[in-house]
Amino acid sequence: MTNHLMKYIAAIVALLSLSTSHALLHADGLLAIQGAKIIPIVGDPIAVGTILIRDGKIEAVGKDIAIPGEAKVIDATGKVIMPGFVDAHNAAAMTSANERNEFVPFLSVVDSIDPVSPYFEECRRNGITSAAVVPGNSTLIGGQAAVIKTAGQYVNDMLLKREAGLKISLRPASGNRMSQLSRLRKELDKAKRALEKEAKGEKLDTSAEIKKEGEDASKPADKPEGGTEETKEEGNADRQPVSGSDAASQAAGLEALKKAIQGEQSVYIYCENGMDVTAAIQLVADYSLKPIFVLGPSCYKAAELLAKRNETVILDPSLVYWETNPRTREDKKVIVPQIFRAAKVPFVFQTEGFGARTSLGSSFFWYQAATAVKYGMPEKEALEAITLLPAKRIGIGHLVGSIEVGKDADLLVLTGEPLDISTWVDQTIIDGKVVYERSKDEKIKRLLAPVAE
Amino acid sequence: MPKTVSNSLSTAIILSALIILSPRIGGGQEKDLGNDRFLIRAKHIYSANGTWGDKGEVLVYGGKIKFIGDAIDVSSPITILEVDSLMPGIVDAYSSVGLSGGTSEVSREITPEFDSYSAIDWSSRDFLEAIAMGITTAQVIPATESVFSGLACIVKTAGEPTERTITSSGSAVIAVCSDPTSRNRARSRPDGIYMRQPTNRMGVVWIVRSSLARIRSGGTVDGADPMSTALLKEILNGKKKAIAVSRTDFDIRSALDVGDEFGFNPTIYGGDEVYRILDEFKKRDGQVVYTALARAAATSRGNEGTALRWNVPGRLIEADVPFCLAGDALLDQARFAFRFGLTPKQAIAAITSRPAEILGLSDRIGSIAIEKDADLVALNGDPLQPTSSISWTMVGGKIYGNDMSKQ
Repeated sequence: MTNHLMKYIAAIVALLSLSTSHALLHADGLLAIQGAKIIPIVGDPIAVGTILIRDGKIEAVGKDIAIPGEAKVIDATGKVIMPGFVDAHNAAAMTSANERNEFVPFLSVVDSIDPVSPYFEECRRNGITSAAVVPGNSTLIGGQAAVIKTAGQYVNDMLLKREAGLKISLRPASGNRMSQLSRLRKELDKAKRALEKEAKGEKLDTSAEIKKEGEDASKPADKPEGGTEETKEEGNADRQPVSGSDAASQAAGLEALKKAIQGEQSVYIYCENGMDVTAAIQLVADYSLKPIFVLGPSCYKAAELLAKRNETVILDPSLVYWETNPRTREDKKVIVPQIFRAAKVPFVFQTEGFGARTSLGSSFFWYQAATAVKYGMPEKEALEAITLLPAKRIGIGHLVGSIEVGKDADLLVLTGEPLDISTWVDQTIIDGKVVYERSKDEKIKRLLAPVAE
Repeated sequence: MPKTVSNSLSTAIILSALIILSPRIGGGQEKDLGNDRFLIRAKHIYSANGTWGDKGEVLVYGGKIKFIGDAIDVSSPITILEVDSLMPGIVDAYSSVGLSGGTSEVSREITPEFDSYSAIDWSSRDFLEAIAMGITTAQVIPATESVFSGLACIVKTAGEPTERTITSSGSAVIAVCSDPTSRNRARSRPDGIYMRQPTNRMGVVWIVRSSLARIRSGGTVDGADPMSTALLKEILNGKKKAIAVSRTDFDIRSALDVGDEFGFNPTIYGGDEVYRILDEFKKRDGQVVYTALARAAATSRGNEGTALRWNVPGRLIEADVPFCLAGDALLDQARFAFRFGLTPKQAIAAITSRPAEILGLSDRIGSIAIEKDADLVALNGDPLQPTSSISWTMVGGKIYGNDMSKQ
């Protein structure tokens, strides 16, 4: 009798749980957003349209889309929908932008990403749905970047690309530009030689190679000028950075560099100024690198050089600034996006994260785009430069960056036109899931209704 | 004198001067347009105290706004400027424009008579940047690393230095905050210049209080400097207006407390946390030059760990507390203040008419009205949209282009 009852209860429980999970599956699996203006980036805006999302992918988009009965429907009447913003270069997701050791090609940012960091919360609030997390600019070879979505519980859930590019900086992390470049070339040469040996079928004894290179470091050509460099290294040693001197790190670092030289992995090259761009272009040619140029503000001087390469560059977050000619004392307002547009160099934006900012809005992608529009960029182009263009640049253009059938449903439901100052992100959707809702954002409420706590 | 007839379609607009549709003015100097008379035809005029968003025409000569109407007849040579949007020149009540050669005295805490005006580099790039941002009037405040930091001054951002000055010896700046402690090191050499009081914030307030108390009882300040003494006397007898730079709620309270004790009411500059003590602030007739918005967009903590909030201006308006926005990038601040909750009119007022009122200059600047200074900003779209850019800035009836570079 008892046994029978138990079976009965168990059956009911099973049935209940089945139906619940089934209902959830439906809600998650099929989503329709209707009533909004849609800016698909590819193609013309749709005045009032519907987007149908199945299992996190865009299944249909258009004016007259039939909504299946089982779909969960979001009414976005009066709102504007566009793809989520894509951040092509940011170290803010990392607990610290750079390792103190300047040569760490064996490290990966994946080990440094904290999914619950405020950065990701800010991303979802401000409409960033994908980002390339790249080590900072204070480095020689700073480790490997990763491309992630900005929502998830574990880093692995968020990852789109684990080895998304090696970070190289031409701004001296210590010493001067000569030693920076010389060290860079030394490391790249090492990888090049290793590849050449492999091509000849010679078995590579990594440890022997490393030992030899260790001795090579005392060669006069590689020795940095004066004692500054050594002193700095001593300073670093005091703070115990990752040494990277063990065989495993060396081997992993060499592998990463080999991939970069073979073009299997892109290289983010940070150039602080115009002369760095010249050096970077030479490096790219000498080692057949696949570069992603990350530019400092004064790199506009090398715009013509970059134009010849026909590659999308990543601009400095500071888009407008003043400079004084040191010789003539003439003052000039430099409008970076205007210069690059005139030189026909395609570009994407960066934002300034926490900390120093040059203007009030430069921590927002929509504001950066608006600034470019202010100085003559057509709005359509500016919107592409915060969505599809950066997505392509970091190798995820086939997944995100536009509202097209088959792409990930990474969408922003905005309260108005994207570049209007009074527009807010109302909802952020990543892979078909609503990951941010303004109506539930307690932080924004506190900021907008300040009271003593 | 041009004859002016309003509210009628012009029957005879005599144009003997050139018509400029979109002036491109480079060269770093005002372009000589042959005369100093302008008829500005704007699709939208945004003046918080007057017309709002409507089209209109503004007649300028002799450095003043002479007439405002829909269709103005002019019968003498005049330059016509067609613009999309026109707003009053922006007034920055907390600026360091042109201040050169060190902004803070580090050897003494009590330097109330140091005047910022004498340290202004009139050819500084700051002025070009200000003009490019639409700022036409700026109150220059010395840095606040000394307790009695010095005197503010008020200047226009363009024109001949003599014409630029509005107030050369302005309000007395008192740092009622932790800034003066930042340079002083308790453990340094006893004879070094860094070995000074205060090394903590208690000491800051003590210096304010003890100096004023000594003056009140007929004494002198440290070193018996007659000029310092005279200046502090002026604060006490109300001849000199006082500015207290205070950001946290307790700094603001301290500033008001000291004011109460000595019978003056300092205007609070900074004011990040004024929202925490708003009722009390209002009761005590406080007014605030709010500078936190310049830093508020991304970071959650500002100077001295003040808790930053976005819509403090909204609360100040609700509470009817006199305030204005100040600091860097004012047009951007107004845009964000609008985003965070102000109406467009309130946002523009917060950078034009409100600062003019706080500086006691609303009879001259801060709005588009007859007989006011011809300080105007023309834009190619809605001033509050980040996609709009400034076409030109006019100061005292002279026009300065957006691109001020000397190419």
